[in-house]
Amino acid sequence: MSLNDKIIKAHQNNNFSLLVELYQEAAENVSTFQEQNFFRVQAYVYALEVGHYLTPILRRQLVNDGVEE
Amino acid sequence: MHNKTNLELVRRHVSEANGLPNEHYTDPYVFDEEKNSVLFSQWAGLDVCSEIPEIGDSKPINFMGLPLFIIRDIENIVRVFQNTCRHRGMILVEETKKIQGAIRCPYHSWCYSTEGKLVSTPHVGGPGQNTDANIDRSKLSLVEIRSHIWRDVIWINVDGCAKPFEEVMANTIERWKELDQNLYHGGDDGKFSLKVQSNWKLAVENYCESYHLPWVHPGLNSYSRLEDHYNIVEYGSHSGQGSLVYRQLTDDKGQTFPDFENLSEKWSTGAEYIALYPNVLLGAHRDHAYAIILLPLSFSETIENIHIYYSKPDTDSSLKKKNKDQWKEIFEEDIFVVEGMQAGRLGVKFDGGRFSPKMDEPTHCFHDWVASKVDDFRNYNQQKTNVTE
Repeated sequence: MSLNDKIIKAHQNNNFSLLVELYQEAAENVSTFQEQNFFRVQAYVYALEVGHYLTPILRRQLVNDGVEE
Repeated sequence: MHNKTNLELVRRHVSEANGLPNEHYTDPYVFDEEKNSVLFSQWAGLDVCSEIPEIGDSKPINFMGLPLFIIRDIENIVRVFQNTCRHRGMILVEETKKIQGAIRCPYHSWCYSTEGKLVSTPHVGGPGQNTDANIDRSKLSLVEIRSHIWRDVIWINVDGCAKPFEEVMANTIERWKELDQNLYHGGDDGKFSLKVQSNWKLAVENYCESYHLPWVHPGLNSYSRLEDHYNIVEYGSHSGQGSLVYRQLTDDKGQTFPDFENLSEKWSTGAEYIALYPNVLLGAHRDHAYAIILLPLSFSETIENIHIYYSKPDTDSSLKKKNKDQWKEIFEEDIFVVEGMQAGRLGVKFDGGRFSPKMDEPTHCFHDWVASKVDDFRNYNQQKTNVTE
């Protein structure tokens, strides 16, 4: 199953913890800074929602990149 | 322009007063006026803390058309918020659920902490950019509704202008000071709901007087006669009834619920039932208590949410069920009365009714309170209009 299909399935199942992982993976597979941050933001939002242990790390990355407060 | 109801007759002494005019039961305009003057401007009951027992638990509640949600925040504080995202006004919490981390709006995913702070605004500055110079998160927290917890009930003052809860309810708090102990909700055996085709005020009126007991609750006559009851009347505050012959429920082995601690002799056989205006009905006994929260759905439809409490956790389940069934039967006996009075209020020549000065003073006390709050609201609006002109 492609990463895109996995993401769609995780959305359908409301599996937000899995979405954190999948969007991070997506961020690693794109070339531009903007694309990378787009997927990192997606991962961060779902991490926030479920209280994921990676939330502070994801946030720090985004803050360091100047896209989050 | 809608004609205002005449409340002068209601404010008279009980011996010569009439009840609230029909429009207070049958007219959507007056229902809306009471929403603002009697429910949003006072301390109204919304729900109970036991409905959200754990950190992160949240529950949406529609209160008189106002979308709210209650939540137990990360610091274990129960809060009430308007259930509306500060971005595009989307409903945030659509069903009872546990918030594990943040409250995420399902529309554009703006995220709020359980304390109501806006913590992230994804892509608000464009793809991958969560900040924008014009979006000041510190000014976009969820709108919190002023709330207070007493006897597990979540009381709210929507307009935020009422005097502090402890001041407004001082008489009742003092009256039941010795009952101010830990309350343990009966769980599934300690709650039920009734939906009645009646204006919410009729449930209050019926609750706070004992006059109807011999006819509507004949099962009580064998041990709890009319003369064993007394009126509780505090004009401007609350009213209700007390019983001198409360009899504890027992199981097959003669066991009773454990008592609350260090109660005075009065409570050995005493019980009190107080309507705490506008919409909470409380009952207190030596071994259990309850709270009924009235949620008006329209001028002629009301939900009654009943919650029963005990002095100790893990009280015997079968006895709790027996107690719940007993109260349910009694409250169901009242349904035909409140629905009958609602239907009777369509009698256009009914003048609000007369009160027995001896037996109906608790009811008049409530009508007088409603009328005073509506009067205050009208006077305030009139003053505002005068200033504008």
